[in-house]
Amino acid sequence: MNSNQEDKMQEIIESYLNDVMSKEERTAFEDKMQEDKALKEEVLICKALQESFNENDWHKLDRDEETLKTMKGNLRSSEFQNLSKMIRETEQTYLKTKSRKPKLSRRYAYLGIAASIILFISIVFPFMFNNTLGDYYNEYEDWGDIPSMTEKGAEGVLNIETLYASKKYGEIISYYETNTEATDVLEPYSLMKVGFSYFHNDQYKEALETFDVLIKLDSLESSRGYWYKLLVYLKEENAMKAKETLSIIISNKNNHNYKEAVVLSKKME
Amino acid sequence: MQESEKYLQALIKGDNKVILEIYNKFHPKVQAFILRNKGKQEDVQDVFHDALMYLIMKHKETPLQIASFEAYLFTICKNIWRSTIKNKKEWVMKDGVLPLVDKEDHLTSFILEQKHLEFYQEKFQLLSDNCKEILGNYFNGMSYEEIMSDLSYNSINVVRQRVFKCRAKIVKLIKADVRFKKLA
Repeated sequence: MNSNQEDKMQEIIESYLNDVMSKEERTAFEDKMQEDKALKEEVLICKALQESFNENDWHKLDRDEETLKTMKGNLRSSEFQNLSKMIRETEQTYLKTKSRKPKLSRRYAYLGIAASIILFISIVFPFMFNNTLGDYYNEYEDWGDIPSMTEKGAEGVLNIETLYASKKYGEIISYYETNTEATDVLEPYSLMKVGFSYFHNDQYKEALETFDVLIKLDSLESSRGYWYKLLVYLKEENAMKAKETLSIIISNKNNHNYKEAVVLSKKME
Repeated sequence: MQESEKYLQALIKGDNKVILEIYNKFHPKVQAFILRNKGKQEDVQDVFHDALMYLIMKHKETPLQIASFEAYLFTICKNIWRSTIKNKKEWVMKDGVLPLVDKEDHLTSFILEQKHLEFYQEKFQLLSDNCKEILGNYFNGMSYEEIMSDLSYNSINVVRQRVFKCRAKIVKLIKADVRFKKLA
């Protein structure tokens, strides 16, 4: 085949794969593939390549029952079954330890006493404590404190960094929403920025959801998620949720802004 | 000992202490990924379990050389989830109900699919940088026009010819490999 014919053939393969042939053309081409095994092989490889390298697709095989059967046999052997069982058991242990809520330690019990004293004072001197949640928000908001990733990161991380630096919050949101498969947006610092972007655009519900994702990541920075949720609740003036979140923050002194949370919760009692 | 090797050995031996460490360290990110991509909590458990089983099978067959355990495990989980979604879609399209499948069924199909994928990726790496760039964009659904302006080509025709040449090249590489006969 000369180079021209080769190009022509590639073009036909492409039309076939992209499903832009007429019904007649398609049947004719399929007949041709039946006769020409090399052509058939080539088309199948092209198809597999296209599917394999497409991020949004997954290459699905024609089932090779024989190989599948052998593998299944292996998986059913007692050796693999025991390992599988062990992994499932470890999973249960993991889930149990994870769902166990951190206990309030005894040394915070005094907070209750402190709070009741403050409550007393606040009844006697109500003028001293007439702050609204919005005031607390203004006092405590520290969005400027979201750390940035300066190290070399994945493209998406840097993308969000750049957009954030130039305050393009709408663009951050659309990047986050369109790249649901991207793993880089799951980095803690990116999530903080996405959450803030929603917050900035008054999409509080989405902001809270994003901070929940951050919390679930269980990274070192995850407890910032609680603090940011708290800021959203203060801004929304949702006292109940704000208090709930505060009590989570003060249940562990390693949490982000633990000290500030202790002070704020005293003020809010 | 390398971190990856430590985890792989623990999986093969069934060392539950280290496996718990694997859960603690890597499960949250996988969970966040699957929940963000239309999955439920049960899906997370199954995908993570299958990914670990995959690593065991794979490492026993030919020892894996992994630079980053976290990145590798995450990719496997991501691929298992993509393959699961695709399977579900096809079943629903066919008859509107999910069929009963063996619990090993999905994992074994996945192992084969992943094998193909890794094989193709290996061949892809052998291409020139220019071919990798062009084909990478092409396979990800970029149009010839987009590739032309993105990579500053003069005409669509040139782009098209490059795509054809590069694709022909990788097809040739694949066909020439003895493993292709086994996979096909």
